[in-house]
Amino acid sequence: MAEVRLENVRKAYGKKVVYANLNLTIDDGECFTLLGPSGCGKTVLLRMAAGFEQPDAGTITVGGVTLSSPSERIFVPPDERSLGVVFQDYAVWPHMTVAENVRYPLVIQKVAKNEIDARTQDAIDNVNLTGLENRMPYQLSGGQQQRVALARALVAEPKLMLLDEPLTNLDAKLREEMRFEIRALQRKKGITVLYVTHDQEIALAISDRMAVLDENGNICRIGTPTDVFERPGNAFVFRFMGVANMIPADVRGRDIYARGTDVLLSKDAPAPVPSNPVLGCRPSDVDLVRDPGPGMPTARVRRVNLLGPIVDQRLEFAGMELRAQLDTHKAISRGLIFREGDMVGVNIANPLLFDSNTLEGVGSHE
Amino acid sequence: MAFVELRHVTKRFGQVTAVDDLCLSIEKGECFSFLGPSGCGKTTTLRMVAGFEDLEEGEIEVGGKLISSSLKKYYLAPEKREFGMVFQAFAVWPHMTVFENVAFPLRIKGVARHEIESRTKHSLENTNLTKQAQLYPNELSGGEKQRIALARALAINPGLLLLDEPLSNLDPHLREEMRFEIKDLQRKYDFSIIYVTHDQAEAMALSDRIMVMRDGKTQQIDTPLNVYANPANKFVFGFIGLSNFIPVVPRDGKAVLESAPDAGQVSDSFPPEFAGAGRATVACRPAEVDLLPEGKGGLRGVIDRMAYLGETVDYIVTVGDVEIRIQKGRREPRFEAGMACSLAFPKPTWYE
Amino acid sequence: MNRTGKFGIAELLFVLSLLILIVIVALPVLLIFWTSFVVDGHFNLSAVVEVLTKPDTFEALKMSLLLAACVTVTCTAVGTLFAWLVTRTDMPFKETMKVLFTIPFMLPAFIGALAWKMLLSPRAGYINQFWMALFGTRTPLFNIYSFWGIVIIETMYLFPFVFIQVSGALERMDPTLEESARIAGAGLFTITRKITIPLILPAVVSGALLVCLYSLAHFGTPAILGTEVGIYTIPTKIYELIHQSAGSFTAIRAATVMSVILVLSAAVILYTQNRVVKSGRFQIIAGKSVRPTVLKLRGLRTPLFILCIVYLLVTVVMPTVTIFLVGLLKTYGLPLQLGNMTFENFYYVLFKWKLTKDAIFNSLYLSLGAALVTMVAGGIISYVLVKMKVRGKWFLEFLGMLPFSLPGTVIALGVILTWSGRFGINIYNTGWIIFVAYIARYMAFSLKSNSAALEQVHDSLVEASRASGATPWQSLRDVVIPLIRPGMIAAFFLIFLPALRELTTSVLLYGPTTRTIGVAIYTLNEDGETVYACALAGVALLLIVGGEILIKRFFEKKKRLDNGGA
Repeated sequence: MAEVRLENVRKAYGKKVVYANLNLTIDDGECFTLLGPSGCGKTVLLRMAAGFEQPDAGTITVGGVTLSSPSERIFVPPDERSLGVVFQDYAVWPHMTVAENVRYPLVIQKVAKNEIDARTQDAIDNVNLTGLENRMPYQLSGGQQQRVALARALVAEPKLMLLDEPLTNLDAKLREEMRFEIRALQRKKGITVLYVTHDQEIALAISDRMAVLDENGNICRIGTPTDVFERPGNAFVFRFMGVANMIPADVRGRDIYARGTDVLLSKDAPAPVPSNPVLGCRPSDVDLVRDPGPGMPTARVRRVNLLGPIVDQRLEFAGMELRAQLDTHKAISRGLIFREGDMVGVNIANPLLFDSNTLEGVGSHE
Repeated sequence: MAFVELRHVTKRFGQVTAVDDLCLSIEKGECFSFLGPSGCGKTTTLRMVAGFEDLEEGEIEVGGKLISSSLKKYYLAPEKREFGMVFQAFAVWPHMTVFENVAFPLRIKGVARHEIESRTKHSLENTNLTKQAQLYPNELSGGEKQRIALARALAINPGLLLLDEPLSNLDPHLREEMRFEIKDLQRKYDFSIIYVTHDQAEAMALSDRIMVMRDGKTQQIDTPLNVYANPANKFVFGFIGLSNFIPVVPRDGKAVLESAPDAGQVSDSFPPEFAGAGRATVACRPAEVDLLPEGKGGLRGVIDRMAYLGETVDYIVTVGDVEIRIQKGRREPRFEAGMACSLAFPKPTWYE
Repeated sequence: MNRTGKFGIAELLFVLSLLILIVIVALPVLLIFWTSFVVDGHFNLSAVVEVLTKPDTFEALKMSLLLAACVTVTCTAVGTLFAWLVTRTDMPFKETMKVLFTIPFMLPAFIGALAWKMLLSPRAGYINQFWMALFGTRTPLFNIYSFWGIVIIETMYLFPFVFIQVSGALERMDPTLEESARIAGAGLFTITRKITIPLILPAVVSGALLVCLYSLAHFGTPAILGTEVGIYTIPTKIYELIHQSAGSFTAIRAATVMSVILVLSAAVILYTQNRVVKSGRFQIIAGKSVRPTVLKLRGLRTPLFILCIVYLLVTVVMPTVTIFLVGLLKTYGLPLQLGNMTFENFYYVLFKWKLTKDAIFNSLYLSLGAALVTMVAGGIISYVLVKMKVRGKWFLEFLGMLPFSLPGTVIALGVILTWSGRFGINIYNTGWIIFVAYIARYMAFSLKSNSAALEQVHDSLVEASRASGATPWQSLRDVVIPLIRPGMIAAFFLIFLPALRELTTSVLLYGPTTRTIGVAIYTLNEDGETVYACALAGVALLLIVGGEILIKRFFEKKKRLDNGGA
């Protein structure tokens, strides 16, 4: 059992309060991601879990065992927490070979020699580094070094693994590959994983559940990736998760209009109506129609950008900029690549309504 | 008569032919990209236009004026060509303020003092640097440094702007912003652009036309849409975006996988031109493959991996020993890893 | 790291570092200032002014400044010219030349001075003799016993300070900085004036300041070439005062006052240099490897190449050959002919004469011991400075800066004041006092090398080992120390080799049986034992070159390892 609980955790550096009162539970065996912009304190949380930092107040328990609790004067140092940690800069020891790096946690634990050899080999095989056991780190690529770090973190079979932006320094292709590998290993071993990143794509791809933090370290949303992306429930989360259109709106009855106009955006406003409503939609939710029927809102095409597999079209809509994105091959086959200056019909699928004062979402979530 | 003309341009470094018999014309006001992997000769070509490299063969003309000619051994010095140029590493002078950096080309040209003042101010306004005019580049961010370089390159109103991977040192959202800025300035002043990049998305977003290069040779010159939708060859297809190349063999007039002939067909016909070879490759983009419930399409497979990325959902489907990558929009039906499925290829492109 | 405090490791290391720096460095300096400014328990400035306005001290001061200024100017000119030639022109064999131009660094300037004395002393110098015989004249070609003689010799051996800095800056500079100026319409001359020179200026100034600092504190050359004709600099004047006064308080006070001037000048120079280096950090490395524009020298190519070769022949080969040839002579003054040569002198110096045998032995064990101790002490202090968060660290940082600005003469004087019984320990005239002085003198090198190594050891490497289950001590043993070992070994060599040939400090501290190699060469020369001086110098040169080759091998291996480091 490695359920991680943070209760009433407070952490400040001088006057800068990172967490005023943090409560968070990570279930046993789950891959949990902390996602947030840089400076939101997500790394501090991970470092407290690891024991590199001590909370000012509150308790941190793993599997029911209290690891940090200033009020009880409990602080278990990192070397006694049986963790696996993977860092952004790999932190592979440059003076040791791949095998020496990986076996080190077992050597420290004074495991029997033949068992060390077997488990080291097993860990190396698991991350697909077989054959590179005697290489020095400088002979490895960034991706291979990160695999060494991963094998080293896993070799002692920790109950809890902490990963601090481990994929940031890798190129896109490797990042994708490693993402799959981390996920596969986590499933296979049934370890609890706390993963910290600012990259929403990785968070979505890897997590069972994720928490989105804002700049001030407040947890804005916890949920499964689909929940968080499709039902963000909060304007900050919505914007942070991807390209977002935000249209100030008026709600009359159940109809949503672009503010101060008669441009109808949606006929299905959720209740209660916020005081300062804003309609949010993804560019992929903006459907364009070549010959708009009567009563359909229209927009003028200002920019057409081909981004490879996606066509990004920027429209002037109700006095604002609205972005619409569509698969290139669909756009070609349906004749939906426009010329600049064309008038097109606009239909917004999956509209979300937020209160721009509180950033809270209205209706549909949870 | 085109604004920029390269005729049979060839450049060698020792044994290596960096640029091989390149012919090319760029119109006034056009944004033209050289796109290719590193070492394809795109930067060398740009440096020949700029005047930093001599030619082994061929000649270059800009605005009707001959500027490089191997035959006549004539090379106009770079400083006399009156182009603007922006480099990847910014190359702003750290010992000069933003204002001094931008005013430098005008000073060198001997423009009158008050005119330098007004034109520099104007350039700084154009690039949103008015507030930073008296700062030194070290106090500024990467994006701002690159805007200084842009303002400096445009200070003398050049007819031709040369851009050497100017955005690759910037982070993604700044890149998009700078792209729009460059495009806006071009619309305003109608200069021609030669843009060198290895990033196909960038080239497509910015250019009127793209030249795809490989090993010093032109592969295709066309509009971004045509390069994407109708690539001239397999290399261009693979370079311009994520792709599947599926090896197929004929069976009963249909195209099937060699390793899994019983898994169904990739296409219900086999092009006669490859019949003799007995094998061919079907190329398709991940978004062009139809992912259907089991039994609904031509090729049966199993979903090996699924990754939900928000806007798109990424799948890898295995059929025999072939992995096929598929991307679907978030509004399309979802499949889970481990599920059996069917694939259809509505728009196959055939290669050897 | 929170837990290091549990066993008081942090406090222990911190206090240890403080103690080392206070005893070895701070106390001597404090005593120098105390002795200068405090007379009979009272602060007394007029006595200081009195010392400084005495004609001979004032002359020495003026001479030191003038000399340093001239050497700085000539080194800057020579170093910048050669740096530019080997980086930015189409000179042949540029890479080889780049290495060759750093060789003068290896040769101790005082051995160079000794060699040039034999070539260009007004009457006996071989070149002057040849010149006078050739033209039947009695006026020598050049008198090396002169202000300009000293300037030229110091320039020959100090210019690499500038050369290394400037050639490095020219190589690192992003070529597109110059290319963008060309595109902007500037020709080569304008680019050099407006772009290149301003950009390398910090490197030039930084190198020049190092030359200035070194020249101010340098003893050997002015001692060998100036004393004879009454040219005194601060270090040689201090030497004279200490030696001739046999420990009289007035003499020591005069010496300390001059030391204060040296320390203050050094501090000002180092402060300026630090500022300049910081402002020069903007020379970014290019994103793409584009070759910089190379100037075609055309007709000047061969003449300039010959100039470089001749310069190297004159500054490196000629003096070295002279040292060995004179060392082989049966008697000084004989013509340099094979018949007059013998290996007897080398044999005598190495195996028979107690004085020189002692000197070689003393130098070896003092250098070895000082290098070992300083390496370890510097390692500990650097660890506290770089890796630990302790209260009061700023004070340690301040003390850690001190060794950098202490010229050798000052250290010697401070050590005399501290260890001649004042605190109950009198080690004057023993090897220990030189040992202590060497530690103070080379602490700066050790701190620099160790700190650089420690800064490479990212915190996450230690955290990774903690997370793997290692205690702080185990992390130190298994991760930190193995990783900084190359830096420590480098520090060892950086101390051992210069200490082997040290003169400035030892010359003030040696006793009858504690001569070092440098001191022995110097005193033998003073006593007219020229052939033995040369033989011993020859031995020293062989030791130095051997050591340099070793260290080079070591650094090449280290570099290869570093290239892949995270």
